[in-house]
This record gives sequence, structure tokens and C-alpha cells, in this order.
Amino acid sequence: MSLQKPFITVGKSERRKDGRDKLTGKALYPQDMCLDNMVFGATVRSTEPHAKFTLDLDAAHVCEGVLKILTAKDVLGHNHHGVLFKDHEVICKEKVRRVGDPVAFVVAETEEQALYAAGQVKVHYELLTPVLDPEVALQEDAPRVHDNHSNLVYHYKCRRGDLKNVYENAAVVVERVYDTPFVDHAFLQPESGLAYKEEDGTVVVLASTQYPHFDRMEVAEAIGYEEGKVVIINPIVGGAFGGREDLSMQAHLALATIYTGRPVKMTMAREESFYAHSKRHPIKIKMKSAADADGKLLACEAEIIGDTGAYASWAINVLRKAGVHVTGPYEVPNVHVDSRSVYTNNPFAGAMRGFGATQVPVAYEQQMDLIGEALGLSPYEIRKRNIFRKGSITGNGQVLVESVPLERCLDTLQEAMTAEPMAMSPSPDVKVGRGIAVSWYGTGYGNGYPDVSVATIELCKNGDINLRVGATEVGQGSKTIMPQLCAEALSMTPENIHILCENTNDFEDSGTAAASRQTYNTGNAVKVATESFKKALLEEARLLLKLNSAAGLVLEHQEVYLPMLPSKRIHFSEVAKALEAEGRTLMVTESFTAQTVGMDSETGEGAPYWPYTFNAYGVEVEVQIKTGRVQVTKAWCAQDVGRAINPALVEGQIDGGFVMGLGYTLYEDLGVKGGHIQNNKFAKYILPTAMDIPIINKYIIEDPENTAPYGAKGIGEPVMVPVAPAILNAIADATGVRIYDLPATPDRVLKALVAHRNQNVL
Amino acid sequence: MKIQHVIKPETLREALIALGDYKGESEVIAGGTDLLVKMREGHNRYSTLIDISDVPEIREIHETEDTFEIGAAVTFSEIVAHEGIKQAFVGLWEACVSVGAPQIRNKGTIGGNIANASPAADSVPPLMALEAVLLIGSAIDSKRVPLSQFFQGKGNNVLQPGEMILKIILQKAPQKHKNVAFAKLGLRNALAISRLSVAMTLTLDDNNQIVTAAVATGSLGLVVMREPLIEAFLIGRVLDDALIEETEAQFSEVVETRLKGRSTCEFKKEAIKGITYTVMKKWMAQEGMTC
Amino acid sequence: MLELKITVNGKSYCEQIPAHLRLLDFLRETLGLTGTKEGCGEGECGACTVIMDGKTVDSCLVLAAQCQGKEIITIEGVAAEDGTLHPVQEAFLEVGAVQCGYCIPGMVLSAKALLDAVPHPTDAEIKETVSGNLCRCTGYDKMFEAVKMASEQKGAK
Repeated sequence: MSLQKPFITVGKSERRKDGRDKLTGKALYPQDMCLDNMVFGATVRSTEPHAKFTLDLDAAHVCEGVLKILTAKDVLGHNHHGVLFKDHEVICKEKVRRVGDPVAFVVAETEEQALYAAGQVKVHYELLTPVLDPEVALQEDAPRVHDNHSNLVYHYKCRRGDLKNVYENAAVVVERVYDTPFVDHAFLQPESGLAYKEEDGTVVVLASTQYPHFDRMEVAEAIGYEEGKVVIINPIVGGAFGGREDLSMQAHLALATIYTGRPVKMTMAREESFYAHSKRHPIKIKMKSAADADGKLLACEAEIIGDTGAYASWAINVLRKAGVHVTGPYEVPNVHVDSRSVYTNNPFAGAMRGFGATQVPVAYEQQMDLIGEALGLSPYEIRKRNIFRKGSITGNGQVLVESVPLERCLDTLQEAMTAEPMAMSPSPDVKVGRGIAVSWYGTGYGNGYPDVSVATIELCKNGDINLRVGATEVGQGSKTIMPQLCAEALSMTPENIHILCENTNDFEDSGTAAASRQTYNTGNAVKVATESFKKALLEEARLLLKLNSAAGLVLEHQEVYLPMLPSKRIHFSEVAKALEAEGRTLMVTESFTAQTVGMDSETGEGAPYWPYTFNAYGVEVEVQIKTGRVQVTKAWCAQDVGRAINPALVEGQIDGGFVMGLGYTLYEDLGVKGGHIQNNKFAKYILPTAMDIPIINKYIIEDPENTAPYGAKGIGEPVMVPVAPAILNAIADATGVRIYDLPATPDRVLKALVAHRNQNVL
Repeated sequence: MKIQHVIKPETLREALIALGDYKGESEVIAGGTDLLVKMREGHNRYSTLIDISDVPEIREIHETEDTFEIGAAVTFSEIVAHEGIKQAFVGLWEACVSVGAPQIRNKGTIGGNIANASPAADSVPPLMALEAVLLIGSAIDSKRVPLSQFFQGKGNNVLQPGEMILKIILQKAPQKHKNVAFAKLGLRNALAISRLSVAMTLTLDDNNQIVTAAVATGSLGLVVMREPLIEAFLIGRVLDDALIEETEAQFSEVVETRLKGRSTCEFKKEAIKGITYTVMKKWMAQEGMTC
Repeated sequence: MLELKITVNGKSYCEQIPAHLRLLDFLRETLGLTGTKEGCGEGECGACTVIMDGKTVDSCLVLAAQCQGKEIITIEGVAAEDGTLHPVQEAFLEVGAVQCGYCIPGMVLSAKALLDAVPHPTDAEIKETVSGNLCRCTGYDKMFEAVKMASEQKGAK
């Protein structure tokens, strides 16, 4: 066995590249920017969930400062956009499908004037019957949300083994229904953008996004331009979590600047932001599980229905991910899953941290506790008897060939939780309990879709490196991680690597900052490109050093030298100068494509994702049994990461994912009623504060993945996935009452407690 | 309504004169933590504001032999920092601690919390259970109004144009065993709007028999209110665990009757038991009683 | 319009402002100090936190006209003029308490105000101090660590 060379920067908690600017107020988000001669836009949005409409613009047109009111007829290109189906209209023409659909876009000299005039646009609605329940939407006679498409957007099927006789022969069968609500990303920076025209006619749109190249394509299509005539600049992004994948106002701004010839800006108020972007799919899961007397799982049967609201966005991928992951990270011989996504006239749902894999553990991890309870097996034991190990086969028939450290996660969790005795109840009306959950998460777009990332490495004159890569920094740290990966391969420090990842002109398409795919996928592209670059650099150095061979040449501190004769040495900058003298530069571009195999549409057989990331989380809770209020007091998170490129950033993800999971479990609900979002402000949409979080103990489990850059897997989403079921299992442990629907608000918990007490009295 | 004028008096006299001059066309702004939210929603009533947040005469907490007088423009942070208030009225102090978050407590004022007449105002139930009296002034005169007579439905109060609250007057406990306890159910530990709150003051005789009781609730109606049925139920009873349990049931009935037909009834009629339990236990703990 | 005399980050200003202008807009638009952020406009998120006469306030809930003679510190006034970071900023950078950054100016000001008043705060005081600053990325844990670290560094001086 060879000794591994110690890493230079991989595994080090390097300081964030963007940290200083963010800490001093110098970081500019779109709302912080302005241009000379700038004017302002405001969107007029539908107040009805389903209606035909006409506009009366007379009153708005005569308002002070109004320059232009864009309606559907002003959309110069195709009046559509959407990440999977082009089912959104840029500006609705005659029909609205949800509350919040854009029907006009007002441009005026000042923001105040634009907002006032937008309020003067009269929309006359001819109401259509809305369909607001996905199960109703699937009925034959239900109103159609889209005229040219049935309300069923997608149906995933997995058929493995045979359920015949399984339940009859099982020692335990557990069947329950679970439900999760519409929730919001609630990134802290509301949508804001700015568009302007360059002298050569290029339209530039500056707005926070997760995927600048895709936005470029959609904006170009909407305004009828060639893609080469559109530039997307993605400045600092104030959080995303999936909510900045669909276009919000980018196309409106582009059109507005074309019509007015002036730079146009708009910034949304929080209330509008809630209507502007996608939501997490509310998903209902009917699940039936069976196990033998030893606790070995025999069957997983699940029927999943997800409400994608008025538009598909990522509905197919989300409900596919839900369907694949609903078995849990467990070996199950017989699997029968149907997962459907359905159009309704509710707010549209799309990507949000975990992408369908976050909703289903609310079911599968409570099922595991229920099975364990029935058989007298502890939560640890029932899981240990079933979890994936190296070589396990998933419900889709995929063989998990390596890096499956779930057992290590679970053991680490058990050891840590056992070492710390459970707290005593502080009061007779408070019950204390603990719960655990394990989960898995498959990285990437998946299902055989070509998941491609591209990176370019370029030598600068001063010997520094330019790293051009479409790894959008949404806060997760890709601006720091990608240079670390590049620096490691060049044996230098990341300070002298300059990442260019904001302007679509500076780099090639690397896909979206989503699906926990950047570190793995784009990181791989960076590593491959850097290695090619290194080879080319060594060759140039060899020539300049007048050596016969590049063998034995070493990189250190941005120099190439020969250890056996250290005077044979040349700095990167000297290589750059020599190349420049010849009119050359050194620039290398490489790509990486992830390996997944599409699934059979009838059986689900395939290898839909790779790699998978695993974890085991546990919590301690206090439940006030007289009010139903739940407080999470302690947390333990054992997280598989493959390898931690930057441990501080990994820990930051675990903390953030845990707290978002806590909000999802206990507080967050958009209160969608009649298609309206009742809780579209922070006073009503309850996010966890600093005083609501427990002590979060973090355990980074490293098990390098062969196909990954230095072994690193994606973790941005996995860190949220096991939180809800761990808390729900702890509530059940504390009180004997199980909560099947999120969020576990005092109302819901107290109702369950009272019902439980009454039942026991009878 | 868009704000056109902000008048910033430097003395109480100036403030009261301004109120008189702009009678019927102005409103008072102190901390602004409620008013600016209303302005954002376009729900403020007048285009002229009289900013009393820096009027020195109403920015102080004054302690006399048997009272505390809290100026209307005293902030929650200032009350929280006041050792005398904390000693004398723990429940009031806790209620002030539970307001919003530091930024809100640094600006929000006790007078504003009262004048705003929200049923969820955190400081009002303990003030009401302490039988606070408001000193209300205008350019012409001043008068005392018991807090329990101040509210006139949600968001409304008895203030006439030209009048404002100057001080909140609290009697110190005349005898031992009189203190205020406070309990609140919020959805989170900070920035929590009260879903339910109860404040309670009791006096006991030497046998732990309740002699007087003042109980006030928040978020159980259009305004913060006294609960005479509960008070009557408590008086004459011996304070012990059994009484707590009976009070929970009594309170639950009161809530059920009041909220019947509302979507919140099912929850609040149960949750009130928990808040009652907590507030009575707290009261006993504050008095050093164990049971 | 009215005349506002105010000190921001140690510099005196005398500006003509409309009566309805919020302190937040005055800072961002009149003075161009865009480090102060708007996240909700109703005092719930704390992104617009500034220090006024030593105390944190949500600048979206204060009218500029109320600020006659006040001293304001914004994020732009926290680091030294030569660019040396304040101990709180340095600690945030060191422990990795920054992610998307939108809450960070407000968070830093809340932490600074605490340490100015209480050099060695307890864990509970730290949590309470930033309880009016919502963060959706970091889960707060590293922020507590950073404030703790800054308090220790300040104490060592």
C-alpha cells in the first residue's frame, strides 16, 4: 500500500473567497446596483387561481412617469419558458392558471411610479373553476389546468419482485398515510434584477440565478434574440435552495430595456417574492411496509402524489427522485411504487433542497420505527438489519459498488447519542424523547440525462491561474471549493486561483447549481481540466528548461522545478511570458459527464443516480404536552461526505440543512388556501431563529468515492433530508403520539395528544 | 397613507401643543415598530406624524414609595434593563423580554404597545393584571384611566383627538404574596407573536387561601381582557396543585364559550390549560411556594 | 421635505429628505451605503439592522425624520479605515460563518453592539442578541462560535 501524499489544500477549512466582501458590506447584490438613466419595472400579477382575463390599461397609461406597459403582445420572441416543459407564459395572454401569474409589466421613471401604475392596471376576470386538490385533478371530469396537456404530468413506476403472498407471510405489516405542505425557500435576498443594452445591441440581464446559461437560452427565446446577443451576469446570490432555477423577472427586464432603450431595474418586496418563485412540492405518501420476524424488510409499497401547481417546473425530476428514494436506504426484495406529479391551480412547485427526497423520509423513516416497535427492536437495530452496504442492490436494481458508509454513520450516531444520557424532564408537563433517522440521496440530474460540466484553466501573465467555470456561487461555497480543487492539482495555494463564474461570456455551460451536483460533477471537470493543464504546463516548462523529459518535474509555489537539480526551475509567470512572446497562451478546457442509466418506464430498472450520499441524524426533543409545543434541544448529525474538501463549509451545510429541516418539521407552512398563499410574509411564515436551534453535534464521515474529485460527494441537499423524520420519531418517543402530517405545530401535536388521551380513557 | 410631515417636539409641552394643533389630522409615532408596518400596508390613518420618541418627560421610569411610573415612550429594552421593575413585577418583565427581538425591543415602547390595542400585545396582560392606570394628557388637561377601560375593540382605544398616553402607573404590591406571573404561547422562541397569553396576580392569606385575583388574557378576543369568571372561581380557594387542575378546566370552558364556532377554538380551549398550568406554577415559584 | 442632521459612521450629514423616507432608504439611496440590506420590510428578518446611539434597530422600521441628531453605525463603518477587520468580522471569516451573506451585515452589527456593551457575553446572551437576525443558510451555529471567538479576542487585548 502506498503512502498518500498529504494534501495541500483539500481537507483544509480555507477562508471563503467571498467572505471579506460580504462581511464589510461591499458585496453587491442586484438590489445594490444602479445605472445612469435607469428606470423601474413592476409586475401586475393575477389575483385569481384560474380565469380568463382582459386588461384595461387606460388608467395606468396616464399615470405619472409611465413609459411602457408590457403585455403578452409585446413579447418579441416565444411567449413561454420553463425548465422541463415550456408551460409558463412570459406574460399571460388570456388565461391565468394561478394566483401570481404575471399579466402585465409596467415600466416607469421611478420605482414608486411603477408600483403605483401597476396598481392602476385593471384586470377583468372571467372566472373558471379552479382545481386545487391533486387527487381531484386526476379525475376524468376535472377542469384542465393546461388545455393541451392532461393534469397528470408524470407517472414513475417501480416494480421489483412480487407482492403476492408477502403480506400474508409477514410478521409485521405497517400501513400509513403521510402528508407534507407547500413550503418556501425563503432565501433572504428577495428577487432583484437589472437589464440594459450594450452599444452593439447585446442585451445584458443581471439577476441572481442558479443557472446563468439556461437563463440566457430562455431570455433569448423570449425576446427573439440569438443566444450570442444575450449576456447573463449573476452577481452575488443571496441564497437560492432551488428557488432561483425558474425565470422570475429576467425576460420581463430584457423586454423592458429593449422597448424603452433604458436600463431597467426591479426589486421585489418579500410578499411578491413568495409568489414569484417555485415552492416545495406538497407530497402525500401512502405507504405499506412488511417485515419478517427478524425485522428484515420484505416489501415496500408506496403511492406518492405530488402537487406541482400550475406549472411543471422540475415536477418530473422531483417526483422521480421521491419515487426512487421512498424505499429508504434499505435492501427490500419486493418494491411497488407509483409516483405521480399533477397540475393544479395552486402556486407552482419546483426545486427545493432535497428535490422529492426530502418529503419521502417523513414516511419511510416513521415506517421503520413502527416496524421496530412492533417487533421489539430498537430504532438502531431495525435499521442495522436492513441498511445498504457496499454491494447492496436498490429497488431499481442498481448495485451500490462503493462508498456506502451508512453503517459507519449509524454506528457513529449511536455511540455519540449513547454517550450522552437523555435529559431529565424539567417539568411534569414536559416529556423528553429521542429519535433517529437515516437517509440517502442520489446526486445529479440523473436517469441517464447527460449531466455535463465544463471547466477551463488559463495561465495568467503573473503566473496566477484563471479558473473559468459555471459553478454558481449561491452561498454554498463553490467559489472557494473549485479553486481548492484546482490548486490541489497544481500543488499551489488557492489564493492565486481566480475563479470566473458570474458572466456567461466568461465560461461555458456547467449546468445548474442544484441537485448537490456542483462539487461532484463540476468539481470533476475542474480536476480533469487542471490535470490536462498541468501536463501542458509541464511540457512548456520542459522546453524552456531545456530538458529531455518532463519526468520527475515537480510543481511547488507556482514554480516547476527538478528536485535532482533544483536550479532547473521556472516560475509560472516566466512560462506565461515566454508563451506571450510567441503569441500564445496556455488554456485548457475539459468536461466531465456523470454516469447514470435511464430507468425502464414500466419497471423502474436502471441506475438513476450516482453517487449516493448517506447520513444518520438523531435529535432530542422536549414536548409540552399541554400546549403541543415542541422544542428540539440536541442534535447529532453523522454525515457521509466522501471526502470533505473544506470541513468548515461542510459543517456550515450540516448546520444550515439541519435548521431548514427543523423549520420544515415544526413551523413552516405557506397556508395555501383557494390558491392564495396566506403566509406570504415573514411575520406569518415562521422561520427558525437563533433561539430555536439545538446544540448541533457534527460528525463528518469520510469514505472517498472513486469517481469523485478527491473522493468528495455532494452534500448540500442530503443534510436536510433526515431531519424531519428524526424529529417526528422523537416526538413519538416522548409522547407515544405519532405525527403523520407536517408541520408539527402546537395545534397539530396537541390535537393528536388529546385524541390519544381520550382513546386511552375509553 | 403617505407621510407628508413629521413633527419632532423636544418637550412634552411642545408635543401636546402639536397634538392639539393637528387634532384629527395627525397620529403619534414613538418606536414606530407597529406604525411602520401599517404604513407599508397603507393602513396608517394620517399624513402627519408627531414623533414623541425623544420627549424626555415620558422617557423615564420613576419610582415612588408605592408606585412605579413608566413613561409612555420608555422602550422595552429599558424596562428589561430596569432592576426595580424586574424585582417588583417579574411577569411584566418577562412579557417585555418576550417582545419580538432586540431590535424591536430597542425601539418599541410600552405606550405604543398599549395604544396600538392589539389583542396579542405582550406587555398588556401583565399590566392589566397589575391593574395599571394610564395617565392621559392633552394640551388642555390630563386624566387617569384604568387600563381595563382603555380598549374599545381591536385596534381602537378611548383616546380622543389631541390626547396621548403619558405614563403608566403601577401600584407596588401593598402586601406580601402579590406578584404578577406571565405565560405566553408563541410558535418560536424569538420574534414570536403571542397565540395565547395569561397574566395573573394573586394575594393569599396565611393559609394560602386566595383573597384577591386579577387574571388577564391576550389573543383570546378582540382585545386583551380581564377574566372575571376565573377570578371569581379562584377567590376563596386554597392554592395548590388540585386547584391548578380545576382552574385549567374552568379556563378551558371559558375559552370554549368565547371562541365557539371559530377555527382556533379546538386548539385554544386545550392550550389554555397548558398556559394556565404554567402561569400558576410560575406564580407559586416566584413566591417561593413548592408543591 | 425636511432637513435631517445625522451622523453616519462618524461623518456628519445634513440632507433634505422627504418625510416618509425610511432610515433604510436614506442609508441605501441617499447616502449610497448599500451594505444595509432589505429582506422583509417589516422588522422580522433583521437584514437591515444598524446601530443607533449604541443600540441595534431595524432600519426598515425607523423613519429617517425620527433620526435628528442620532449617531448611526452601518456595516461600512465597522472595519477600520485601513481595512483591518473588526474582531467580529475576523472571527466570522475564520470560523466560516458566512454563506450567502445577505444577513451578514445585520448579524455583524448585532454582534458588535453586544460586545460593545458586554465584552464577555454568555452563550444565552449571544443567542438572544442575534435572535432578531434571520439566517436561512448557516443554521446560526458558526455565528455563535464566531461571536464567542471575537469576545475572547477582544478580552485578550
